[in-house]
Amino acid sequence: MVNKRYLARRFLLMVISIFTVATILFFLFRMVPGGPMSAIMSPRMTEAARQRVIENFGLNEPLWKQYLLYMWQLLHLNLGQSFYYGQTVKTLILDRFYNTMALMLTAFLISYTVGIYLGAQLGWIRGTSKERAGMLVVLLVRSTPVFWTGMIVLYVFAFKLNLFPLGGMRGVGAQYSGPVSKFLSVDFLYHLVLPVFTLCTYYTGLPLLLMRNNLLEVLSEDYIDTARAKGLTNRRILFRHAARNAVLPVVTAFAIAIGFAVGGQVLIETVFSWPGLGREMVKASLRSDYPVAQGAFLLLSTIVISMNFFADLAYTYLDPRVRLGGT
Amino acid sequence: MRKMGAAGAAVGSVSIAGCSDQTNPDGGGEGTGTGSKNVESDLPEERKIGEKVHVSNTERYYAARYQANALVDKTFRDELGVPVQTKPVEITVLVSREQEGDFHLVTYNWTASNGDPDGIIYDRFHKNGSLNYYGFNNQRYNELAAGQRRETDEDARQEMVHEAQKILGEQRPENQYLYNVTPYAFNSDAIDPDSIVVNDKGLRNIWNYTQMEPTNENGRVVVTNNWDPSDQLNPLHLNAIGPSRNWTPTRFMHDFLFRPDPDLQMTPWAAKEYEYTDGTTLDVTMKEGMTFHDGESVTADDVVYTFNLIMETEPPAYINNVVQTTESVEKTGELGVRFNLTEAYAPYIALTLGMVPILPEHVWEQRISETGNEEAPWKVPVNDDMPIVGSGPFEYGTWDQASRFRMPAFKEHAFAAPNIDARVQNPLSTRDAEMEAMIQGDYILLDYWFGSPRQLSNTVDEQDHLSMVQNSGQGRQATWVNMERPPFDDVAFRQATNALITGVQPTIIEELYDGFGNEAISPINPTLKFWHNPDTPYFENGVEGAITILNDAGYAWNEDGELHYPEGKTGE
Repeated sequence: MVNKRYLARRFLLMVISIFTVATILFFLFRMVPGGPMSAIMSPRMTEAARQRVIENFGLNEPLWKQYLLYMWQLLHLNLGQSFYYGQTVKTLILDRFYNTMALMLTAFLISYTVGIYLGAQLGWIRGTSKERAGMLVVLLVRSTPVFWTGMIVLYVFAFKLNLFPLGGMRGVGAQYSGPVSKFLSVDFLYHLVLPVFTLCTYYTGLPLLLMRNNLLEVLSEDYIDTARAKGLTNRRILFRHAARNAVLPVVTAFAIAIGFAVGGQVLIETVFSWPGLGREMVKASLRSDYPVAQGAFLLLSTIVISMNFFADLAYTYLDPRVRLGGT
Repeated sequence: MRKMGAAGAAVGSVSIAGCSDQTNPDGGGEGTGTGSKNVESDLPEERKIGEKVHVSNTERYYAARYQANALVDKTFRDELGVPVQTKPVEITVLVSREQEGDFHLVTYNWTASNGDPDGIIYDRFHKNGSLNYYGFNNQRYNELAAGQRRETDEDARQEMVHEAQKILGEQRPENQYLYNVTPYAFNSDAIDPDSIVVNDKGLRNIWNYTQMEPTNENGRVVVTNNWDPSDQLNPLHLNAIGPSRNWTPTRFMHDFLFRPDPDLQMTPWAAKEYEYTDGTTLDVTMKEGMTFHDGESVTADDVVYTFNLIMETEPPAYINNVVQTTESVEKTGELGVRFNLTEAYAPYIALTLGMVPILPEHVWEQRISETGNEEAPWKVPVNDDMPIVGSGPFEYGTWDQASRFRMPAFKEHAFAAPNIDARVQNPLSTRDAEMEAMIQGDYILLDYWFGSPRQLSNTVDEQDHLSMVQNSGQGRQATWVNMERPPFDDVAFRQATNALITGVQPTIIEELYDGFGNEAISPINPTLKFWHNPDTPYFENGVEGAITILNDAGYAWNEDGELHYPEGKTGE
């Protein structure tokens, strides 16, 4: 059950957190050496032209004024215009955001589904040689740097076997009728296979280990013995009684992971030439493209903070014993 | 080439000493013999040369360049006793530090990339040059740099440019590491090798893309590794002009009155003929039958509109070459345009008419009005809903941001219709993937190659369907010194720096660049045959030559081998 006052308090806290993050981001990027003019200046631009650009970007105003303007625009959900691209940040980020989410959500959904299932199975067969072998494989894969796995996967399946594309999100000649067909076409799915497979090998480990460990605790509970005494099948005990209670921490991990998914996996995006938000965040930071960098990181922070909040709420529905904010 | 070694020229007030019989085997005393350091005891601490910062790209950004810097700095430290530290920074930080004068030495590749020497002679080294971050200010040089701009007689201008190089060679605000030689690969099964045109930009030049002959179906769509053009599809954008920018789509989708030919000579493109009626009036007649991609005719009205738009709104990228140089532009006929210059400006054809795309008035007028960018047309967005309409040999096709940009050939182009059907920029983010795309036939050619030239060369040797061409661009890799900070305010120290760098040049070229480079002496690359001065002076004999110059200028070393300023001079 959710206490309404608690809910309101948490919501307020969430807004304050986002405000704080926006403030920190604003000042943090301006402390980075370099500055936006270095990335966008044409080599033959005169000093007068340079000043004109600076004024046009509003960078000639005092910092406090820039900050107030930024916050005011933020309140109106206006993230500004990219210094480098000359496009609105919203358009720019959304374009890369969809690409990243298509990659990361697919990977997380598969990883958490497979991880929860395998984790439950491994927990159930604890102490057997199969479980030990399974754990060895899981720990090995989980400890392997994901970019390295990506490079090996790319090398084997794309470079050597020519089974999959070398990178990117779509083929040279692929045509789409609209944005939906773009993400549901065979061509797109074909490009998605290797990066998703690579991410899954890494991300499956966390839900699997969490699930396994939680299940071990749950299996020692009295109600499991009761279920056994009632003569229920192992499968029913595992999935209807044990797994449901063991899955709670995995839900939290999943919610947080979704939040971080927005940031993408910069290294995987680089290895597979995926035009996602993660790479754009790095590029924007290096170019001191403040509006894009701030917008992207703010989006990431907002989703992480929000997903934490929703994870708490999800708890109450998955486990009626949990009450948020007391009675 | 005019070498200036231990025996040499008098430059300004500094005499570059000849060889001396006095040698200094003990490393002490006041010997000034070639390569023998002038070692003194009890040198005051305030004369000791402190740490100098060499701002460099990171090794990840450009390995060979970083390593070349590290080699030069190590030679400074180990051989001359000058504590020069390599400071690798991100490219934006490097640019920013250079602009703020926060460096002692700074190194990168640079080219004006337009076939004209003005960007080097004036912008880089004239006292008012927009890129003169080094404090170089030489009276005679300033006269020459400003004079060559006004001199419309080519031979007279060449003479001035040559003399300017001579001064730069003696004064050494810039020390060249090498003239890069860049290899490019293409699929010779898909494209007829005889139809390939290489110029200073390698294969990504309009002559190549319009003349390439496909030999099979695969070659009809030329896929290349050029990166996302998102920052500059609007031809008035801040980044629309500049060699380091990805301006290929803009150059290909628009026509220009003039373009540099493969030999870098400016040649009429959309212009049919031209004539200077006096030093400040240029009449141009355009070719007949040209149309924009939407079928509308290209007329003198469009040229006049484009120039007036630029002069009225002053897009920052065009202030230098259009706003400041053009008084007015008027129509003299359906295809005739008169350009009235503010004053005689020799590079007008190359740097103005060769850089300004012809924009369709009927499209831009509407776009600017619809988007409310009357004051800043350089902010008009470009995307699939508002595509570029130009008249160049390639059209705007489709653009998946950060992923793929397709440019169909404009088969109706009046005089430069491409033989291929389309050009696609499909960037991959690693060099290995780019190379593999060439091997597997996904790419038809490489617009750029930032990996190891040797790796590319070896791959081409192993693959029957690949061929390689190489070219020396207009640029050079060089280190610039900050003449407002000692010891680089002293011409003798700069000359010693040049001698040191000349000494390590063969190692840089052969070891770090795998032989893909040529020895360099002047800021103007020999590719610009007409403008390059092969007699530009430079200083040789490496470390020994540097020691001789420093000895003669009064520098001294202590017993620990640390270099000290001449008597009476102190510094950082």
